[in-house]
Amino acid sequence: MAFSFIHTADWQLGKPFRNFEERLVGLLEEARFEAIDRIAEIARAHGAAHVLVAGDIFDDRGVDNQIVRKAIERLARHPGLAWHLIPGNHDFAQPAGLWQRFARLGGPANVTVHDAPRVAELAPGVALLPAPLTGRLLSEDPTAWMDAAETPPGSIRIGLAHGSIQDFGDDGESAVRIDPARARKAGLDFLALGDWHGKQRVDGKTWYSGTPEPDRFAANEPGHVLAVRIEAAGGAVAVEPVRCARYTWVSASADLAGTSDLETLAEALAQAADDPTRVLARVTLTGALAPSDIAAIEPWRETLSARLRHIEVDASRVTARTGRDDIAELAGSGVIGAAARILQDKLEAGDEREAQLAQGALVRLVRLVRQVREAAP
Amino acid sequence: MKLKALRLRDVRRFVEPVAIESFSGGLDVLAGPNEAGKSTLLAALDALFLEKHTAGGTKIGALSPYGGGQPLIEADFEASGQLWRLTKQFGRGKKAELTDLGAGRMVARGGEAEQMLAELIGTGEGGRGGPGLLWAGQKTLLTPQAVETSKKKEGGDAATLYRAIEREIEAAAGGSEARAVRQLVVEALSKLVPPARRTSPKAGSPYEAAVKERERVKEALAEARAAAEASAERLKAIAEQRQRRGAAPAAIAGLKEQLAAATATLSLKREAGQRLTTARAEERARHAEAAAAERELKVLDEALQELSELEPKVAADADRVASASAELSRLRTEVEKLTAAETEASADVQRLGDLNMRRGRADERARAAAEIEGKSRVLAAARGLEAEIAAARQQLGAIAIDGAIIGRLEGITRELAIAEARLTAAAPTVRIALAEGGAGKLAIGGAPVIESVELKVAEPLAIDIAGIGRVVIEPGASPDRAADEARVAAQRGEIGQLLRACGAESVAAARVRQAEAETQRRAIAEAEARLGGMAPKGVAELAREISGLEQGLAAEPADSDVPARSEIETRLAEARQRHQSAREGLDRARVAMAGATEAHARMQVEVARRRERLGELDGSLPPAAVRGEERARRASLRDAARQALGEAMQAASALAGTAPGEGEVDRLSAEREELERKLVKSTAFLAELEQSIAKLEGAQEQADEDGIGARVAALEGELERAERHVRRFETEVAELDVLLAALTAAESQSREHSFRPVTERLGAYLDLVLPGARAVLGEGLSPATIERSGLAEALGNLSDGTQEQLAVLARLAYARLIADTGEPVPLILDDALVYADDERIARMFAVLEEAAHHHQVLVLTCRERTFERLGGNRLSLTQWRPE
Repeated sequence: MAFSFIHTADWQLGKPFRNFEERLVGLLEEARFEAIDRIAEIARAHGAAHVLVAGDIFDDRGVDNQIVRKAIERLARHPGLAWHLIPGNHDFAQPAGLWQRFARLGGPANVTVHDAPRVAELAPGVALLPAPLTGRLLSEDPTAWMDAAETPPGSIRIGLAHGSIQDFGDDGESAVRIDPARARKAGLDFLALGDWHGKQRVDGKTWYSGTPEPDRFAANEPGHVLAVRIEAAGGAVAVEPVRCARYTWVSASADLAGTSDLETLAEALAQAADDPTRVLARVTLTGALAPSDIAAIEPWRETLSARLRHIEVDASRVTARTGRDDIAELAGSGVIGAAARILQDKLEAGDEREAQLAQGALVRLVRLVRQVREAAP
Repeated sequence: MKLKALRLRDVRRFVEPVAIESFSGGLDVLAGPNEAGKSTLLAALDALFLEKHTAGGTKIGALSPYGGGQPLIEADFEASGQLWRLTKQFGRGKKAELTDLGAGRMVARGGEAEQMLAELIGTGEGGRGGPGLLWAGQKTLLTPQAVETSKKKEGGDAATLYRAIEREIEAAAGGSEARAVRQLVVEALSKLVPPARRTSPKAGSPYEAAVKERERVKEALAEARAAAEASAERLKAIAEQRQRRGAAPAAIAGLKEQLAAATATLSLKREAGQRLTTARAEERARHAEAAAAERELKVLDEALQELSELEPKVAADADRVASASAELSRLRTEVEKLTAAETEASADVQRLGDLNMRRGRADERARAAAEIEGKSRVLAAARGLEAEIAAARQQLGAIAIDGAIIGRLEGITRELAIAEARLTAAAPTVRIALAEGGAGKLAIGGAPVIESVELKVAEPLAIDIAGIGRVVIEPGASPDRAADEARVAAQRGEIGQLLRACGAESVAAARVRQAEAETQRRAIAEAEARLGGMAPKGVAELAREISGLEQGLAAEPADSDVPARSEIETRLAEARQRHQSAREGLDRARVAMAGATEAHARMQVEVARRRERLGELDGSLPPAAVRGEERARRASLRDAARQALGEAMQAASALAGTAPGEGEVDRLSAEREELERKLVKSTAFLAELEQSIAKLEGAQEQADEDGIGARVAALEGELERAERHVRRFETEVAELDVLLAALTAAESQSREHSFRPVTERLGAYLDLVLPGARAVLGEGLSPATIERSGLAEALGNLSDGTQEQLAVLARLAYARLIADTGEPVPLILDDALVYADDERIARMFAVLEEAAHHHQVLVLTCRERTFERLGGNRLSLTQWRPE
C-alpha cells in the first residue's frame, strides 16, 4: 500500500532578520509562518495526510512564547493534516525547554513532537523512526539507533533526522553528523533530513528538503518542499520537489564596463521572480568606470530599491577609470581640475584604503560640480 | 601719487592754519611727541583724498574743532607726471577744487574735481580700483583681518587688492565654482562632524545617532547574550534539580529506616547498661557483707588466741617478781660494804699526803742554809778584789799622763823633726876626710874627729884643728832659714812646757809612762770583770741576798720527826691503789643495783598490765562455755556471705557481655542524632529543591514569554545593520575630508600662483629683515605662515614684533606692486614698528629707505630718538596763510 507525505525542514520560525531595514523585517518573519499554510496546501494537493518536519522548526529554542503560539495557531489551522516534528539543533529538546513550552502553550492534537528516538506508527504498516536532537553538538550519529529499531514486518520504514551528512561539505548548519549510508544500513525506505537549507538529493532514498522559505542569499535552491510517495516497503520511491517560497533571494555580481550594464542587471534582477516586489537582491559590482559613471551607481540603486523588495549593492570594488581626459572634461584647468588631479594622484599612488577614499571623494566631487552647474543659471 | 604739501585750517586742534610744505615725495618723516597733531594730519589726509567734499555726518563732525568751524584741507601732489593742488572745504560752504599747478589753473571743481581726483589717484570706479593711500596703523597691525587703510565700507587696501586679484583667479580657474563646491563639502561635513574635531560625530547629527544606535545595540546584545546564557544555565539547573528531586524521596525513606534501626539499637543498649549497673551494685553489697562476716570471725579468733597466750604468763609472774626482789636486796648489802672500804682507803691517802708535805719543807730549809754559806764565801772574795782595784786606781792616777798632752807632744816632735831636717838639708855639707894619722887632730865642738865624717852645717860650726886654729863654718843667712829656726825654737819651747806639765823628763820618758799607765788600766779592767762574775748585781746586793736567806731560815722552825721521802712515797702509792680499787668496786655495785631496781619496777608494771588485759579479754568474750559454739556460728555466716558474693559476681560478669562498651551509648546516640539531622536536612532540602525548581521554572517561563534567549540573533542582525550604517557615515566623512583637503590644496596652488606678484615683492623685503625666510599668503593677502629652515610657522605663533613687521612688509609689498604696475600710492606708517628691537628696526629702516625709491613713504612717529637713524626728509609744521 503506497504512502504519501510531505518532507520539509528548517522553518526557522522567529528568525529576526534585523540586519534588514525595519519595514522588511516583519514581512520576512511573517512569510515563514505563511509557509505553513502553503505547505498544507501542497500536502492537500498531493494527497498527503502527513507532513514530516526534519528539525529547526523554530529559529531558537529561546524564541518568545508569542512565536510559539503563532506556530501552534498556524498548525492547528489544518486539522486534517498530521504534523510530525523533531527538534533540530536550533530548537533541540531539553527538560523545561522549548518543546515542553510548546505542549504547555497548547500544542494541538494534530501535531506530534517526536522528542525521543522511538518508533511511531504513522499509519498501519508505516513506521516513523525519528532522531530528535537533544543538544547543539552531538558526538554521536542520532540515527544510529535506527539500524536496530524494530518495526512490524513489512512496514514502510521512514527515518526523520536533522544533521549533516558526512562528506557532505561544510555548509551544513549543525555539527551533528549523520552517516550517508544510514538509509541502507537501517533498511529505510526514506530518510528525510533537515539542516541543509537548500534542496539536496543525497541518494534515491535520502534527501534534504531545504527550507520552504529562503532566509539568506545562498545559491543552493531553497524554497521547496518534497512530496514523497513510497509505493511499498522496499518499493519504489518518488520524490517531487515543489516550490513553496514567497520571496526569491538573489545574489548577483556584475562586472561593469559602463552604465548600460547597470540597466541590464536591473532587468535581470526584476525578472528573478514573477513579481519584482518578491525579489531580494544582493549585488556585488566590479569593473572600472569613469568617475561620472560611478556617481551614477547610487541613483541607480535608489531607483532599483523602489522596484524590488530589497537590494544591497556593494560597489566598493568598482574602480574609477584613470585618464586625465575625464577630469579635464569635468573641471578644466581651474581649482576644481587641480583638486580632481590631486585626488586622481592619490587614487593611483595611495594604498588601498587611501585609494578607496580618494575614489569616493572624486565621485563626490563629480556629483557636487554637477549639482553646482545645474543650479547655476 | 606723491604728496608734496599739506595745509589745513579748522581741523580739530588746528584751528589756526598750518602747513607742511616740505614733502620730498620719497621718505618723509614727521616725528613729534604725542598729541603733536599727527593723528589730525592723518585724518585730514584721509578726508581729503578719500571723502567727498559733500560728505557730512559724524565723519566730518569728528574733523571739526571743538569750538566749531568748517574744516579746510589742501594738498599739493604729483600724479600722472604733473603737479596738482586739491582743496576741499567740508561743512557749510563745502567745495572741492583741483588745480593744475604746472599750468597754474583750476581744472575742475565740485563733483567734477572729485571724479578727476579719483582717476588721478586710481580710486575711482573707472580706475583700477586701487586704494589711493595705503595705511599701516599702530593698533590695527596685529589683527590682519582688521587691517584697513581707509574707513570705507568696501574694506581695506588688502581687500581691495585681493578683490582685484581674485577676479583674475576666477577668470582663470573657475574660482566661484570651486568655492561653491567647497561650500557644499563644508556644509555636508558640518552636518556630520563638528568643525574642530572631525574624528567624532557632531552632536545631534544622524552620524552620531548611528554611532549611538550601534552602542545601544552592542549593549543590548551583550545583555541578550548574558540572558541567553542565563537561560541555558537555568535550563541546565532545572534538569539537574529535577533529577535530584526525583531521587530525594527514596533517600528520605532510607534515612527514616536507618533512624528507626538506630533508635531501637540505642534503647536495647541502654537497657542492658541499666541491668549491668544493678548487678554491679548487688555485687558491691555482697562484697561488703562477706567482708563484714570475715571481720567478725577474725576478731573472735584473735581474742581467743591472745587469751591462750596470756594465761600461762600471768601464772608465772609471781615467781619472777619474788626472785627479782631477792636479788635487789643482795645488791643493796654489797653496796653498803663497799662504801665503808672506800672511806677508809681515802683517809689513808690523806694522811700520807700530809706527811709528804712535811718532808718537803724540811728539805727546803737544808738547801737554804747551804746557799747562805756559799754566798758568804763569794762575798768575802769580792770584797778583797774590790780593795785591790781601788789601790790599782790610785797608782794609775800617779803615772797617767793626759792623753791630749801626749798627742800634742807627738805632733810637735814630728813637726820639729821636719823643720830640723829642712834646716839640715839647706845647710852646707862639710866632709872631713881624715888623712892617715889625722885622727883626733881635728875637733868639732870640742869633740875630736877620729874618722872621716860628713857634717851638715846648720848652725855655725867650729872646727878646731889642733894646732892650727879654728875653722868656723857658718851657714848662710836667709829668710826661710830664719823662719825655720824660729819655728824650731818655738816648738822646742812648747815641748819643754808640755814635759814640765806632765812631769816627764823627755818625750821618750813620757812615752814610757804612757805605756805603764796602759798596763795598769788593763789590770784594773780584768779585776773589775772578775768582781762582776762574783757579784753580778754588785757586792751590796749579794750581801742583801745573804741577809734575806738568813731571815727566811730563821722564820721556818726545824721539823725533825719526818720519815724519809722514799718510805713516805711507797706507802702513799699503796694507799692510793687501795682507794682506787675500792671506788671501782663500789661503782660497779651501784650500777648493778640501779639496773636491778629498774628491772624490778618494769616487771611489776608488766605483770599488772597483763593481768588487766586478761581481765578485759575475759570480759569481752562470751562465757567460756559457749565460746566454741560462737566461733562455729561466725564461720558458717562467713561461708554463706562468700557464697552470695560469688553468685553476684557471676551474674554481673554474665551481663557485662551484652552491656554497652565505653562510650558506646554516646556514640550510638550521636549516630542516631546525626541521622535525625540528616533526615531533617534532606526533608528541608527537598522542600528547598521544589521551591528552587518552581522559581527557576517561573523565571524560565517569564524568559520564554519574552523570548530573551532568542534575542541574540535579532540583535546580531541589528548590530550588523548599525555597523553598516556607522561605516557609511565614516566613509562619507573620510571621503569629504579627502575632498576638502584636495580642494584646499588646489586653491592654495592657485592662490600661490596668482599671488606671486605680491609674494615676490614681499620676499625681497622679507629677505632684508628675516634672511632666508619665506612668507605664504593666506586669505586677504595677509601673510599666513612663515617658512624658515624648512619649518612652517603660523603667523599667530610668531612674536608680536615679527607679526607687526610682517604686516608692514606686506603693505610695502602691495605699495611696491601698485607702484610697479602704474600710479604709485603713498604708504603711510602711523606709529608703526613699536615692537621692533634695535637690530630689526635698523633693517626695517633700510627697507623703508629702499621702498621710498619706488613710492612715497610717509612715516609718522612719536619716538623721535629711535627714528633719528631713519634717513629721509624731516617734515615740520609751518604757518599757513590761506588765500
